[in-house]
Amino acid sequence: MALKETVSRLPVRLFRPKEDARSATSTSAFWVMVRKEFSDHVRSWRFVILMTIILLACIGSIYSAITALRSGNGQAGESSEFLFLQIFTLSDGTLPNFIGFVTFLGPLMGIALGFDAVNAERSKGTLSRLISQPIYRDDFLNAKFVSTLLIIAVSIFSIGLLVMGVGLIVIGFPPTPEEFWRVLLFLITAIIYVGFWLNVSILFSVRFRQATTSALAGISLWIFFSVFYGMILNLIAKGAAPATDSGAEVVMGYQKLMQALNRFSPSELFNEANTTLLMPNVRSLGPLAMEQVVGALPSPLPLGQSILLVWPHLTGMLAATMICFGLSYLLFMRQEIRSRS
Amino acid sequence: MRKACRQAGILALIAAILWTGGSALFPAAAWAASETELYTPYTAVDAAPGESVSYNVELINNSDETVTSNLGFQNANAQWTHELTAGGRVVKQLAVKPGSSQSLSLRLDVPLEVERGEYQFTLTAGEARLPLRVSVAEKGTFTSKLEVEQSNMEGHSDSTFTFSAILTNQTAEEQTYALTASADPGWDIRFNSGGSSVTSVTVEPNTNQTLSVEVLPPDQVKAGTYQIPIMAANNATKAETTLEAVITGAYGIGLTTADERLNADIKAGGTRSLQLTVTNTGTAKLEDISLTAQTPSDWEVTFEPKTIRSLEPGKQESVQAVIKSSEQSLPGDYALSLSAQSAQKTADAAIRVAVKSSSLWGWIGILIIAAVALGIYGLFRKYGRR
Repeated sequence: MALKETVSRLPVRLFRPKEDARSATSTSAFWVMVRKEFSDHVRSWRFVILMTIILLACIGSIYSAITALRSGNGQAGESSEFLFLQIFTLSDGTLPNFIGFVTFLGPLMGIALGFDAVNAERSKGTLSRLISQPIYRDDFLNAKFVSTLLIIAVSIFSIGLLVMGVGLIVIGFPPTPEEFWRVLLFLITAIIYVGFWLNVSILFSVRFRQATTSALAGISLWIFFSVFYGMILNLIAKGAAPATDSGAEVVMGYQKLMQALNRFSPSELFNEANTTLLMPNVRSLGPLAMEQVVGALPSPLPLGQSILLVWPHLTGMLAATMICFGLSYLLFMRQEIRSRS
Repeated sequence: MRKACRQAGILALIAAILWTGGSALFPAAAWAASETELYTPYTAVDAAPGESVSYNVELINNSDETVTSNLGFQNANAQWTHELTAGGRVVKQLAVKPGSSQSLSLRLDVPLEVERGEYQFTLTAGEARLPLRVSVAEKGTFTSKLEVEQSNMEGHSDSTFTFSAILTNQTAEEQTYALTASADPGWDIRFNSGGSSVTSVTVEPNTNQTLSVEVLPPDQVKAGTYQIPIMAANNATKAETTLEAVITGAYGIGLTTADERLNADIKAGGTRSLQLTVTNTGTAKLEDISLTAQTPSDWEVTFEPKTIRSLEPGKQESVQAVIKSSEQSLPGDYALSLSAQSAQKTADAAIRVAVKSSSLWGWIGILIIAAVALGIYGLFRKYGRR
């Protein structure tokens, strides 16, 4: 962050009474930093490259969804009712659907935008100079987090709304309010999900002095969850699988165990949450007993019930995000900041 | 002695005459009456038009020789027909051994179209004559007849009235009748013969056929007496009669919720009470209405009261139904079918129950997030602003 500019925007402090000035300047200083960070991000090559990758992926997924819609691949029963949502969930098989791309590339975005948040400033020596300015120390970290989250929110919303726009052109009729709210909730969930990875990478950037180390740590965690975690789960599943002739309760318990293990992966949480939000016909995420299905009408859930169904997922993601932020906050505040460290 | 000699001489003379073919010399009539005789016990009978009268006639030979007689029948009435049979065959001539008799049957058919009165006939066999009298007590009609044994029946609007009718063909030919009923609109009349539904029947002359007539009243029939003329007709002949169906009343039952809403919300594992209204929509009293429910697995519906003893026409009765859902039920819609049954009628109410999952975990989630936020706030307080 350019120090000169930051300081030049802080003239107010000198002419204000002390108590008043403290709060006023802190908020204004914070927002100045946020604005600066934001503009830095937007102009960086990193962001351009990321956006290009994500845009290309989105175009691919939309194309695949549209071809699937046109060929009538959608489930016959529900296609007429929630056609608009199928743009996000449908795929003709050649490319993953939109959710799939967000699940896979969202972490990359979060990690790429956050891995050098603190340690780059530190290694460039700008951190100590910034902190020596009359600003609160935590405002620095908060500004880093808020500005990057804003970038993420803006890009995810623009991509999501773009997809909706394309859907409007292709399908030809507007979404119902419920569909709109569902898409909006999906986008907010995506922001929380990417925010989680952002916080993880900020945590690494606070913890590790070298930007490359924190980048590697973040990427390895991402690859672990998106590739290796599934393999490990498969191994566990094979080991824990009950005998073929075991009773329903044993099989049920096994299924529930595997699902619980699966849900440790943030991408799985995100996936389940969005499947439920974007497919109103999903009524349950776990294994179903026959007694539960008897008499059930195949009707879509109301929005409130869908949210209640994935509320644990949302809670988990939000809590994990906040805990990561709290950890990095704690670590950062307890760190020593020297002029050249 | 002289007298005896004279008698013997006469006998010898007679024998000689007979021997030489005396019939050519003397008129035979003077002798024949005593030679053969026709006999039947019932010489004067009553008969109805269309009936057959059978006679067992014996031809008795009183002479010493075998007598061969030609049979004849003097019939003044052209419509009456007769038949003479013996030993299973039609006979024209009969030979009888001396001193014995030979029986033959005479069948006399009373025509269908006949005036009442007494009719004379004579059966002849050679010289023997047998006068016969047949009294026809009623006038023959030469028509078809449709009769119903019990033409009045009573029942409620849902019952099927089954009448038994007999169609008699009293004409000389085989008739094919078209069966029609001219009932009020909405009434369904069906003719059955031999177990299958028919619209026309063929009846042999002078026989009858039993028809069963099913009468189904319309749904919205009012109480009252209804006349249903039925007719069996073709272009030659027709027969008609009138059936009478007495409707005592209609059975009708209605089941709905008190506010006519057929959907309800319920928490998974929770209960919800519904106010139901059972209405007697018919015009007859309903007895013993029982309330039942068809539910998803592990759901329970209890009714208060469980049964309604009796419900007068037009009256309503409220029933409290308490629905208890299963703990395991999924959020979303379930179908629930409630029904009120009486012996005569059943009414159903299909209710869509939307299960809402418990919001407990929602609050717990909010609590978790609040706790984490509080922790971060604590961090802010502890480390920030310095």
